[in-house]
Amino acid sequence: MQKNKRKRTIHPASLWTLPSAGLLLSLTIAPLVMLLLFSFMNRNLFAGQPWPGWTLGNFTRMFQAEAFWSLLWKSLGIGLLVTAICIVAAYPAAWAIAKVVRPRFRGTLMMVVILPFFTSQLLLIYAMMNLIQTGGIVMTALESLGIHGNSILYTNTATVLVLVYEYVPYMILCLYSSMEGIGDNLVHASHILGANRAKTFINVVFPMSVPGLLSGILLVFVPVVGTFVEPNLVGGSNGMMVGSMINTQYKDNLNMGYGAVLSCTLLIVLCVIMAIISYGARRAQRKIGGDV
Amino acid sequence: MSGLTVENLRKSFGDHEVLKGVSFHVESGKFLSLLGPSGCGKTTILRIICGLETADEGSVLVDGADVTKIKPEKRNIGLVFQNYALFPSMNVAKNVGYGLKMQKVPPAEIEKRVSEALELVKLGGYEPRRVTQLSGGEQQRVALARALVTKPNILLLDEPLSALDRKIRAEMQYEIRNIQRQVGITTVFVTHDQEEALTMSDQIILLHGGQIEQQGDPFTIYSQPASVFASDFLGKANLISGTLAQEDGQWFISDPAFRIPVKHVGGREGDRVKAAVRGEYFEFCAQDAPGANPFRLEKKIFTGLAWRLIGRLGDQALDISALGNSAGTMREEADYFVRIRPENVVYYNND
Repeated sequence: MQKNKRKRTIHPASLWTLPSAGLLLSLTIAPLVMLLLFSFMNRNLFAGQPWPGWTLGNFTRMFQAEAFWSLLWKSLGIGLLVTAICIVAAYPAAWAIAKVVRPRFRGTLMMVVILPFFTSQLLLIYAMMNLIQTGGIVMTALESLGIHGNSILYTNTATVLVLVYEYVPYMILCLYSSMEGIGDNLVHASHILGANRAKTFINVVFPMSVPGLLSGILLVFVPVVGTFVEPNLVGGSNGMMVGSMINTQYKDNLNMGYGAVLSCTLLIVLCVIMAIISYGARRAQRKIGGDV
Repeated sequence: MSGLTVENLRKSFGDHEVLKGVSFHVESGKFLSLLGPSGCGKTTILRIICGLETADEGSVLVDGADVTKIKPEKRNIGLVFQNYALFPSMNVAKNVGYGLKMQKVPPAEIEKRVSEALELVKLGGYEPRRVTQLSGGEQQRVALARALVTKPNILLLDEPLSALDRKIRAEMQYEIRNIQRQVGITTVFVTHDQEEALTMSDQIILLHGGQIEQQGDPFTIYSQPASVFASDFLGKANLISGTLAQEDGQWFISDPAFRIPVKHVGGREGDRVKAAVRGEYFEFCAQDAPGANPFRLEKKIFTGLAWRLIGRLGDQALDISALGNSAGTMREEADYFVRIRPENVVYYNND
């Protein structure tokens, strides 16, 4: 009689997910939990002081801090503006790369788009500063055209410009990945059914690009709102954004608890806004495409 | 003049001349097939008719009006694409109603006409479905409904059946033809499948290398192919070479090994010609029967509908199809006799 030999195997799925689950746990969930815990602590746990004890003081302080709220609104405004400019600039670019140019130029153009990623962020900022500073190429050119004025460097406009410059490639890449999947036939079918270019864009291209658009917004809006490098370098004395304030709490004031509260609040606000944006986009998509 | 008229279309892509002057007319309400191998220019003609491509020369007239310079969105032409081109972000109702929405038809009427169009293609109640979840045949029907719902002047079908499996394809051939008759719309159908063209069309235009090779109703095109290419493309006829000869007023194509009677349509005695004879027109007979020619059977293959008998007529290959039982008892590597009626043979001068 043959013995039914049971093969000994470790259930593979649980084993294979270990590395990714570990990464997620240690690099995303643990820091978030720590952030949450720190917000209930007085002062700085790592500053060599005795156990600070639990408190709600950071929250009361935040709700009373007008500077924080005005910086938060300002940062959200800049975030929305930069994202909007990126969307407007990236749609035609992504469409051109995905659909208009010949396939053999596509690689070259993609290379041009991702070229800035080969350089450090700081270098990009300094390069842009060089261009727009007083006596720089742009100002000199304007002056030779008879246009005189002050350089936009060290203003909020410069912050927006630099942020757009840094983040527009992300938006292009995201939109491109969605548009690549839109067959030429769909565009032709739309024309033959009586739609001009604008209507074809709204009814066919836009709904199909929503997934790319949403990931683009996520990749641009969230980091832009929380940034502190650009405002510190090119924003001048009135350039502060909410990220600068949080950075100050950690770096200069050594007030980790307060910094954690501000970070948590920013995180929650960003999540809510992203949820609203994504709901709005899906709703628009459903309005055009009908319920299923 | 009602219907669709195409006049002297010419088109080149770079150095490659795709259309070398194509003209034809489709009567209002008729079904025309553009048939030909890939690269013959049939799809280009279709794209020029609907305006997705511009011709270098020539014009397109719909019901007598020249539409050559009109943009595709203003032509009111229905087109069914090879891969259907349904909008994946829209449900069935929005897909079908798209053209009406562009014409600014009120929503209530759109809803009504969409459901009528879906009834027509037997997809009543499919409105809220997602198009990506439909089968190939269903997507095909949605595409057809979308093309017809705006009541276009012309319906264009670009190899719409090539992605379907055999059984559904046969069903859709019948269905499309039925709907086309019901609606009474002038239709141009592009295909490389001769069987499809023969079963569906009122008229067939056979295209070859950017020119019209032959034009006619399916029966004429099949039984009287106008050229070697036509006889080979439609149903793969046997091509037999021989010399034109005459005896007592009857003309033959002769060879030391055989003599095939033909109707004289041109050429002189002694001309080298090629005859096209369809495999199903051969008839087995006794050795002493009039017109009998020796046939050496080399291989027989059962194809379901008929037996395919591959062998030789003299030293030339011959492929005969024989229905039913008669061939069942025949043996391979044996000699038989075949004959053929002159009206079933067409011949062409050797080029």
